[in-house]
Amino acid sequence: MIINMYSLGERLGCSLPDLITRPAGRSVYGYLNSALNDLEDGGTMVLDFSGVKVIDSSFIDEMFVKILLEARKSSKVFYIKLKNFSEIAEININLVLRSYSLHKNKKIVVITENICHNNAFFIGPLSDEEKDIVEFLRINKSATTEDVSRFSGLPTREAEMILEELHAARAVRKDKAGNFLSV
Amino acid sequence: MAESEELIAPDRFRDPYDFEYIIDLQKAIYEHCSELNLSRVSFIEPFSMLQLLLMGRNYLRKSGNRLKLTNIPIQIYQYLHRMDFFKTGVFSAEDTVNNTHLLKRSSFSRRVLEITEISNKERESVKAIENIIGIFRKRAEHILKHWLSSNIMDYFVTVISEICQNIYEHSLDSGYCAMQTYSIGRRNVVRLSIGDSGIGIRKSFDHVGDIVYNSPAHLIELALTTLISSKREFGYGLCQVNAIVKKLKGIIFIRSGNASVSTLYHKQRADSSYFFLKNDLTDFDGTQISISLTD
Repeated sequence: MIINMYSLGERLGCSLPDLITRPAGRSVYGYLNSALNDLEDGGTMVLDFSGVKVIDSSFIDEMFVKILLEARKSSKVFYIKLKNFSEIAEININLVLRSYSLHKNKKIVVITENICHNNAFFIGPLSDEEKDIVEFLRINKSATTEDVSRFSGLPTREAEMILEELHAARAVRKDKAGNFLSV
Repeated sequence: MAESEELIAPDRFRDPYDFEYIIDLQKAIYEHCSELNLSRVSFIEPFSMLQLLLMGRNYLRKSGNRLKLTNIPIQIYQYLHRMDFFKTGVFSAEDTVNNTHLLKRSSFSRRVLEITEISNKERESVKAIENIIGIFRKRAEHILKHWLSSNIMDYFVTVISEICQNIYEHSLDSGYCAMQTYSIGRRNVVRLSIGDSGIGIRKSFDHVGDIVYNSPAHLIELALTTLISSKREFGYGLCQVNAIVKKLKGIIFIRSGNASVSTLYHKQRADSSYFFLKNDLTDFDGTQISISLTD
């Protein structure tokens, strides 16, 4: 499912080309939350920000943080992916996700289609090991715990723990056979 | 109050630090003055203009009367008129300047954002913020003409949005926003000023027990550099503003209650920042912020 955020903002009366303020974030979150009903189990919602310039921290707090937390706790497994976001949007999203993760001791990250300032395809606070694993899966599409263990040099148990944590944060997929896949 | 008592304002409207002299006169203005004579004023920058406006509004609220501004030099009157200062209805002023002498709103003079009121109610405030940002985007090429960076416009949109939202979220009062690019000697300055006369930063944190600070200025510094919030578990706004100003090597001045904090970021050296904290200033209601860049 691909959501064009500019068109959505237009429909909801947001002040384009910017997505700013808490009320705007709340109304966009309300729409996305109901759109999740149409997303199949294990599906990915791609948020396309083409044409959007600034996304401020209030909007991010009301929209992104909530939808990413929803992805973590929802009984229906789904993933969020971003594409075509501006530089300032990335900076602001990164600050909010890092701050939230630090204060709540709960990692929230979001996978991206575009390469980010961290030279990887995600925004948020991942350790170097986690970053390498996400990148490994992005390139190889699918891998077992043993594959990741061999690639990273980590003991299997440790690799499995990291993969499970990444899956809980919806930064990697997991199929029914227990293989891990890129989002 | 003795009627018609006039106070001659000193020429102290050149920068936020200079305006402290006018704040020191606040008590005399509120208690003994009905006319403020501006004949000695040769220059007013946007932050001082907003402070004067807030002072006039406080005067109106306390006395029920509008403070009269007299003997306004023509260039000051032109500037204040151009910035919609008189439209706020806070002051009464002698209308001595002929219409032909007022500054025209040509594209050349679009290096300003006129004074806009930010309501303390969410819906009106969001509309005002959207309006300010819409005008800013249209005029940004004039306002930011001397600062060549592809993202600077987006940085300022973030800053305007974050600070203006703090007014209705935290101050419990309405406020104002204005912006201008001007020259001092050979230097160009762009200054964004946003202020309110609400409860101020210290009072907004009164009910938050677990924040340790040793002075009101220290609390302002914490609000700028850490994720503390008086309303939620944590807040991002001022921290984000600080991060952006640091990136742009600009200057932040925050005055709240009886304290102020200035931050300077070294233009040549990375990660070189200076914080100047001041306490025990004359108490002035609310929080006022100035963000400045020089070329």
